[in-house]
Amino acid sequence: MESVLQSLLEVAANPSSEVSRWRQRTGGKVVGWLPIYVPEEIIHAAGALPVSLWGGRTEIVRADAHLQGFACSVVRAVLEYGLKGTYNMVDGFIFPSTCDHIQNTSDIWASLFPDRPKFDLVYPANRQSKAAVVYLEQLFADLEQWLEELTGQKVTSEKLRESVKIYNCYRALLADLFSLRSRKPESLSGPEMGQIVKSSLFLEKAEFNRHLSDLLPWLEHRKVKPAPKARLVLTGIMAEPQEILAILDELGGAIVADDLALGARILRAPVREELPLPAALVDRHLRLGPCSTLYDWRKGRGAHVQHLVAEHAADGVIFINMKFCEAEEFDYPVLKAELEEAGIPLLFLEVEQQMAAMGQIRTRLQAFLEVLGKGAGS
Amino acid sequence: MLKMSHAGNYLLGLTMLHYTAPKQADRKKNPVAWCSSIVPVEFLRALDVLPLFPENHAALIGARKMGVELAEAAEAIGYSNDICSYARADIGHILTGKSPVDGLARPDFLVCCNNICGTVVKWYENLAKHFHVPLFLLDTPFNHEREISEHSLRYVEGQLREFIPWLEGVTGKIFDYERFQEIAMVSNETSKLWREVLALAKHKPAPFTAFDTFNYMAPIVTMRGTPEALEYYRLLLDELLQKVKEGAAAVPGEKYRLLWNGIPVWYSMRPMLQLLAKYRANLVCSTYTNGWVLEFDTDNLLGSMARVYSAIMINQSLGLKLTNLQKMLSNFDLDGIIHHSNRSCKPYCFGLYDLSRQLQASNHAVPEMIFDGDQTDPRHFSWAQFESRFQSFIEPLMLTQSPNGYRRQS
Amino acid sequence: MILTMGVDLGSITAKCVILQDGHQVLAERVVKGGMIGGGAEKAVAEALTAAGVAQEEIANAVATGYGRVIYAAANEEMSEIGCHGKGAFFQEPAARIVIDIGGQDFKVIKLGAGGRVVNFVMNEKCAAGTGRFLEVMAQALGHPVSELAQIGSRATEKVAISSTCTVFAESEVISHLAADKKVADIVAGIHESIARRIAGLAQRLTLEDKILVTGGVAQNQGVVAALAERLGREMFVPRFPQSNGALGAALYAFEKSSLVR
Repeated sequence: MESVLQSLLEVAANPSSEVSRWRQRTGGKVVGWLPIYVPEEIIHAAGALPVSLWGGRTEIVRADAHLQGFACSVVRAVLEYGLKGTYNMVDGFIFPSTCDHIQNTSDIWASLFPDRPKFDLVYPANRQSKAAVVYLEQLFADLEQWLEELTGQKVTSEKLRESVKIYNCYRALLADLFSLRSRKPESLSGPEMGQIVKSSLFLEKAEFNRHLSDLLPWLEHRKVKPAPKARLVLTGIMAEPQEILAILDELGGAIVADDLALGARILRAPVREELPLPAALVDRHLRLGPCSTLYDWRKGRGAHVQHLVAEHAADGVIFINMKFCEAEEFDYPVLKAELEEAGIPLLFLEVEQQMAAMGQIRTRLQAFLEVLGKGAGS
Repeated sequence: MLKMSHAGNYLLGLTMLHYTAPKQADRKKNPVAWCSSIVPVEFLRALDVLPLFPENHAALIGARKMGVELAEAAEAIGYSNDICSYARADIGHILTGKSPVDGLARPDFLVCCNNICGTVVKWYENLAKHFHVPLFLLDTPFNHEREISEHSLRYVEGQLREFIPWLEGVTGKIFDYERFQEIAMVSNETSKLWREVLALAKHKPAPFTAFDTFNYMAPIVTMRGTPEALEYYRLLLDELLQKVKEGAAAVPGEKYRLLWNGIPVWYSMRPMLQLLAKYRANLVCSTYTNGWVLEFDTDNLLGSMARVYSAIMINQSLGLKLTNLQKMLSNFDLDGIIHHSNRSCKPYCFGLYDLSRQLQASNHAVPEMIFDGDQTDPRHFSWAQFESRFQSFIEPLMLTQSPNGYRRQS
Repeated sequence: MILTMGVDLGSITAKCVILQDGHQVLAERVVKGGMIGGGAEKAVAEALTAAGVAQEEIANAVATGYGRVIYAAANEEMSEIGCHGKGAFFQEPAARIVIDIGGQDFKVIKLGAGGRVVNFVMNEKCAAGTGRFLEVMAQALGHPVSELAQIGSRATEKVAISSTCTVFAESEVISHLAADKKVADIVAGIHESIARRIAGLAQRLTLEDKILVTGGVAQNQGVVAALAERLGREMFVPRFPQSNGALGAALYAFEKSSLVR
């Protein structure tokens, strides 16, 4: 079982070689998608491998000629990878309308790579509108057609139904993994946990499901670290750089629940299999949230995070802020006020994917645990 | 004190009225709505709603150099310095009560359209939470192509249809479609005059600078659809036509005609004008002020409103932005472009480097300068940098141009 | 008699405090050379000499600051924030807020009963509001950073430095010089700029009296006065402003060693 775990960690550490292998093995097309929400089921049903393009730690050299320094590190890294050829094995690109950064990067991308297939998944932001349903149905139909042209394969309703089943199973398995993280935080190190989720974004999901369902019973009895001193909820875009999770382990803090985009947010809301397809995928998109990038005038995130704290008996919350992510940065003051009122300790941790120095991050995490009465001096 | 023109006096009066009327309004008769800068205000006017525009207010905050103080107030409760300074300044005004116009009257509801950015969506979410008032979002999907798709337009039109019962709900009033049409006609007429005003800059020398138009624009932003705004642009157009007739020049001895691409640096307009005038350069037009030329087809009002409100330039593809710049370059016979790489306005400036690269590769290439700045927050702007970049931009122009005037027509 | 030691390895300086029985400071040393440059060893050696004790006599040592993970000689580590809390409580039991302005960062710490840290904020990656900012500006003016406070005290007005970005602010300072502004007035503007930045972040915490200012920049009266003015509260600079963190570490080392006993 250890080797199964290692193979998943390997995929997360080096996704491009895994993706290249898949491409060679199957002769299939690879479709890369940017954050946050994409109906992967349709890509899967078209016989392509959906892979997430969520940036990464790379020195920004080429992208600076195209994007200002106040663009978020995710889009800067995506552009850098594109320019330096890391994405050469990706056959098609999907840019969702997540935020101004991604939306405008899509146009820069188009001007740099006019011949590489790209689909702009411009979602309806006003999901309350009845007109949004028709619009979204059309959008997914257009996506389907684009994928069919790219792969040369028809997205039949049988294939789509099959893909939906696989993805619902995937979400259920990850829900089990998340439950384990809360019940037995000592079974996986923080970085391992993060890497398993990350690996799922590069592997064909039926394959990933097999691995994870093998692993889960074994993990129940695994112990890699002492019982945590502090139980924490992590909210934000993603838990990167991953050293943060290692530092937390070392200090005795454990993430027992998350509200991360690259995490619980994309894994919520299973597709209702009783509904006809593709309407069921539209229905799922309309039910997603809360998320800083999905319009919500009631600001449900605060209540959700408080719910996570209660459900998982957490001691505090870490708001991990991807610098320059305006959607998150607007949510922060609201969440801060709500958590203060509820008496829940909150740490603001600002990160960029390319950051190397972890000194300040360490100081903050250590001091936060001390504040919680779970660190040195308590 | 400078002698104020008739139109100038009228503008001052309108501004006063715009900010004071909502404070004294009977909210049953005249509810107050806070709106993002380009929303279909015609619907609101039809129900006697008084709209207020936090972005316009934030521009005033910037111009009065109150930006830092108010932005800092927002930062003190957790707003990041990275987010739009209009939002920070305006939230700072809510927190401190400080404002150049004694503050904005409290809203009864909010209307937001994301045709200018996704930032306003988040900003208005927070306003809704703060004031406990309902919010309507009009979503105009970003257009990555040459043409806005039909299904996108149907979606926007669908939302406009839903906007009417929503407004009836929050105002407790019945929507009068005929009144709405009349207002749309007034709005149309006003936009037409605004377009004519802006077009006067084609004259050589130009009778005004783009910075003047940043002042002229207030009523088209805040009072579109009212007879007062219409009257203002009639007065203004008359005055400006008179100037053109007299051959009056905004920059005496105008030698270089430039385009301003971006939101103004509100707190630094005067020194910029002085610097430009020293070199006899005039910013004759801007992509910013064009945003409010909104003309509808009155036979298909909702359909054309869907299109017009979706077609705001920063909601369009880089390709369309380029075409727009090229058109302006030839329409106004321009010698160069100043681009504001504005930390606050992401949609306006992400893609700027490639826009410039593509322009240089086209047969419309003119000298360009890009400077780093911010619309309201001087902490992200360096005058010294602006000045030196401007000098290195204008000096080559001086070398390549005939000494006595304009570039030879090719 | 129990001797404990606290070492605070900053980015620019190393600080060492030797404490007797958790209440008497036997020696305090601040030396140049932080994480690189062997500052820690030097500070420790000097402090031992000054206190007249040998390394073996130290019952327990705790390291803090950026170099805390690197400095292997210490038995334990504690976050700088926790140490500043302890140090501040020792130096001024009534202190409720500590503003520590170091070379690379500044922090505002809120203390509860017994000097326990209840909340804190720190600057982000930008150098505005730190000792580094002060240093770059001093360089632009052509004066050593240690003279700024004195120069600033002769100011008759404050020249506004509006940019927080260090690079922009530097060019602002240079253009003020070119415009023949008085150096003293520019310096006052620089102090004001730092105070603004720190006060902005400090307001994210609910401020209380009494406020202690520590760190290298606390020795600059101009910055301290500007902070007091901006926050509308009195500021106190304790006896060991720069070694407050090292002192806290030594105190923590004492608590731990008495636990062991």
